[in-house]
Amino acid sequence: MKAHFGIALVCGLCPTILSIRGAPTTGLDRDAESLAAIPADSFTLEDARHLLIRAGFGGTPEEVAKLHALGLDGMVSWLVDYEQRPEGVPPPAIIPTPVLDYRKLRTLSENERRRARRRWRIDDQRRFARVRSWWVEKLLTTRRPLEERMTLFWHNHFTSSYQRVRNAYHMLLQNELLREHATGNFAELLHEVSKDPAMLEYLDNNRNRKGRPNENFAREVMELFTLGVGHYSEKDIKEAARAFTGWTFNRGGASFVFNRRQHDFGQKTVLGRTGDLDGDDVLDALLSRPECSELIARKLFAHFAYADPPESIVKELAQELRDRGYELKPMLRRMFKSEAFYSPKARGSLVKSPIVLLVSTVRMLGINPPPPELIVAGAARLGQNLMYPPNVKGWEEGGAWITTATLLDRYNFCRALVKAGPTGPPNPRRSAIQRRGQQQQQGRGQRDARGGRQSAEARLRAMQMMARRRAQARVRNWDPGLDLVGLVARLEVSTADQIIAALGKRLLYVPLSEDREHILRAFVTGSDGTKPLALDKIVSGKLDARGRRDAESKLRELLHLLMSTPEFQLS
Amino acid sequence: MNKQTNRREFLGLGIAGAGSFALSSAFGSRVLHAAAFGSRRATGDDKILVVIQLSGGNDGLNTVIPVESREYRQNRRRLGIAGKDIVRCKDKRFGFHPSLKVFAQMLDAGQAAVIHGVGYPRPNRSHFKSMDIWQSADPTGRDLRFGWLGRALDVMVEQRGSDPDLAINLSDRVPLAVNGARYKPVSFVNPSLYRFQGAGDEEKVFARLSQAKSSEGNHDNPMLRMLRNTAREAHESSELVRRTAQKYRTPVRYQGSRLAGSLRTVASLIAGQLPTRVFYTYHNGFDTHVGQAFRHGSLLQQFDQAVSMFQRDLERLGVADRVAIIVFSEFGRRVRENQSQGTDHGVAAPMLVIGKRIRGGFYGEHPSLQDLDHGDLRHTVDFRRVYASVLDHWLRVDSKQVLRARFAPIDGLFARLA
Repeated sequence: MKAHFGIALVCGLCPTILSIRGAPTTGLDRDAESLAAIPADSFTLEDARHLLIRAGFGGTPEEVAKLHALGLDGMVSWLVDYEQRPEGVPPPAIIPTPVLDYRKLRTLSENERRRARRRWRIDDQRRFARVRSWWVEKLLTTRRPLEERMTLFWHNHFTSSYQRVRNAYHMLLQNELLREHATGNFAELLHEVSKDPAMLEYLDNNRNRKGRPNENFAREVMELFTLGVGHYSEKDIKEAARAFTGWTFNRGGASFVFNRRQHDFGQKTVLGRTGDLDGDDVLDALLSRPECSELIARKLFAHFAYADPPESIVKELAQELRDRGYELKPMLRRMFKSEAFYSPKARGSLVKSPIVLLVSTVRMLGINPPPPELIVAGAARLGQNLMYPPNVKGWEEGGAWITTATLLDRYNFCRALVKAGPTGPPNPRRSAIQRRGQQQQQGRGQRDARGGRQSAEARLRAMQMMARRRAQARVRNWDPGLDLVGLVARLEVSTADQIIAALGKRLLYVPLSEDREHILRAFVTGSDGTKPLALDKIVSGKLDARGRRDAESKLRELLHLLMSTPEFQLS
Repeated sequence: MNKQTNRREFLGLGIAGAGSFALSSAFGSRVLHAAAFGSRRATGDDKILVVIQLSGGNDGLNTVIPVESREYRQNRRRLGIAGKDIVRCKDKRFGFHPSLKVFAQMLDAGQAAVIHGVGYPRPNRSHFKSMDIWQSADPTGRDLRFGWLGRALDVMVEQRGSDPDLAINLSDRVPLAVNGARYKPVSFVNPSLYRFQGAGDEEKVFARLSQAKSSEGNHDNPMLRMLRNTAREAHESSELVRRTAQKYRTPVRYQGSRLAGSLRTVASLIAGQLPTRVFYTYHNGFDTHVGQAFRHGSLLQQFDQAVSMFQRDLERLGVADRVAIIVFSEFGRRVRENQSQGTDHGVAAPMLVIGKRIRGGFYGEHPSLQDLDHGDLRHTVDFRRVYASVLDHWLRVDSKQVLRARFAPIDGLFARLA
């Protein structure tokens, strides 16, 4: 399965792009503090590229060119009004049951109970792996990139962690809820998410009962989801917690339940509103505060345009949100057309999150999507373990992604993406051996899984092991379909500078510093003592099989080195 | 300490032993770096601070237990530690959670201290806000750019020159606490994976890319500037850290928790004579709203084990004199337990200090369980007083420069230094 416009690396780059080194040269006069739309005729190819990496996951030069041809309004509408296009990967068929039957559990002995719980846990971990793989597959292949970008955004706003929720089906439901409202209405999303089983579990509201309130949800909904610290009092939290009492969910059906017996119907005062308030009343009180719209506007702008937005921009976008009853699309359209969004201050100013780094690398190179397990594990290693945010505040973005260790790991994971697969014409004998080995391994797994007299738990473990082996095999056998020799030949470039420029043009949003470019040039020409790239032979098509393999490895090393730079981490 | 190796000699041995170009280039850069900034070796008087952050809000009342308090029993009907289970120490007024046996022994041996009721005025009950306050040492929570240790490291850099490994953080995110204006700590979880992977040629070219000065252009892009610095430091420190940790052998079996693993790494880097002055480690999971008894017990057990193994290892290495551990959490829990057999976010809690050269015992006054502030303890010791002691008496960095005001140190905590 290829990324949506297909072909990707196979087609050539338009030669005019090659002369630019990767930096926006136009738009220097755009005002970083203005939300006025840029003139449609000033919308350059580079602007389109910037928009696609921010509102999506970037793409190949061909994809960017196609979208740019739609014009500013057309491209923004392509991104924002995505409902017209089919969704892509259908959700995994995870049956809401089996849930642990608590009534039955009570009849069991202590030991049996523990075993039943453990069985369920192992089984659920398998389901959870499928949920995450499904999401990542969507990220890698979606034709509605903004939908997934916003789902990721809300996942980091209305956080819930599987660590606490411990139910794959609930995590899936929440993920679909966030997607359903991704660019819809924030007020609706807030009301819905507050009744979402994973959220009710994550912030303990299912333990929030009349007479013994649990303040966890009441606090976070004010501090993190709507108002921000300093815009409510401790008393507001205590009173709001009472309003949310009795909000829980039904385990079997995984749906919201209002438990009247556990709800406190007494009088409460939250943010100046008094009465027999329930949870929805409190949420409406929060939404009516200007601070709420400002928090959302600030966070969205900082996420998509640049960090620490000026208050004037925040106020204006917040006003837009309030005027439209918290509809998100008008605000997003305005932002994606604004001078501020395309200003030099925004350009290349954001550190790619681990998920964006890995997914966009795949999509910019136009390679075959890797097995999702590889991306899940990679992003986790780089500090973004999907559906496992570190705490209710979510992942801190920007510079916080970067440490000495995660920076090296970023380089190393990008290597895994470009170094996989054959570097020459496929060797049929080797593949046959690989296939046989794989079949043997799977056979072993299946035997383990079927094994007659094993306990249910052992069987589950064997199945888990088998799933893991299959994933490992998928990663091992994945071929990105990268053909850099072919690319260079088609581009008809003839110098080291042109190759570096072409790759930079495809991959970088900040130009490489001159000394780094110099070091890479020396690597291509071999003037640094490494084996030179047989550029003339590539262009004239005179490479033998061995020469082709050497050239392909050299080019992949070059690609990896280009990605092993500070510049590549920015978008 | 007589086994002192000059840092340059140590690095030189690395070259001789490894032989490969890639290694020698990385090490070479270190040597050049050291030469350029003057020789910095780990000297005997350079004290080392290890911070253990108990994330989530540790229940202070069930950690250090006021054994004689009637109110403790009344408020902790289900979670209170039974008298027979409390680990006793010489001071009869206080006891410890049953998981803290080794800690209690260390306290009686004068090598561990408890500072009662540490907190700050107008406490904040949000994990993040309160953690930010602890880490920035700003109780108003307004200036959150730099951490208290980060500012201390800035001062050290100013006085003694820079070194990437001055502070090491054992997680993949840099906490505010060690984030300085000039100094950014080295961060990693697993030292053996802390490296650039590439074929021979690639590694060579990568070394050049990382050392590129890139002074021109993009001055207006702060993220790019930050990334370039980090790239240089990652390259410089990774080789050294990885090899040091890898060759470490110890009879002490660190196990049972991530904290134990982190402390093993710390021990290996101290043994390897790295110039590191501050190590930042974590023990997570203290947010015990529900079913606290088991969870809290096993967390403290892991803590107790990890710290005792670490201390034993330091003794064996002959460096126990140079190392002190401080233990803190963003807040304690409410005095009264909740209805889910847990406790909710509270305020003041004890801080723990461990080290061979500290003066062990109890410091400060235990907060009253009768005179509560809306169900919470009132703090008796400002947390910045503990920081001041650590800065002035252990790290030898002027606390006023770091904390922007003079705070009375905890009398005698590091007295044996004199």
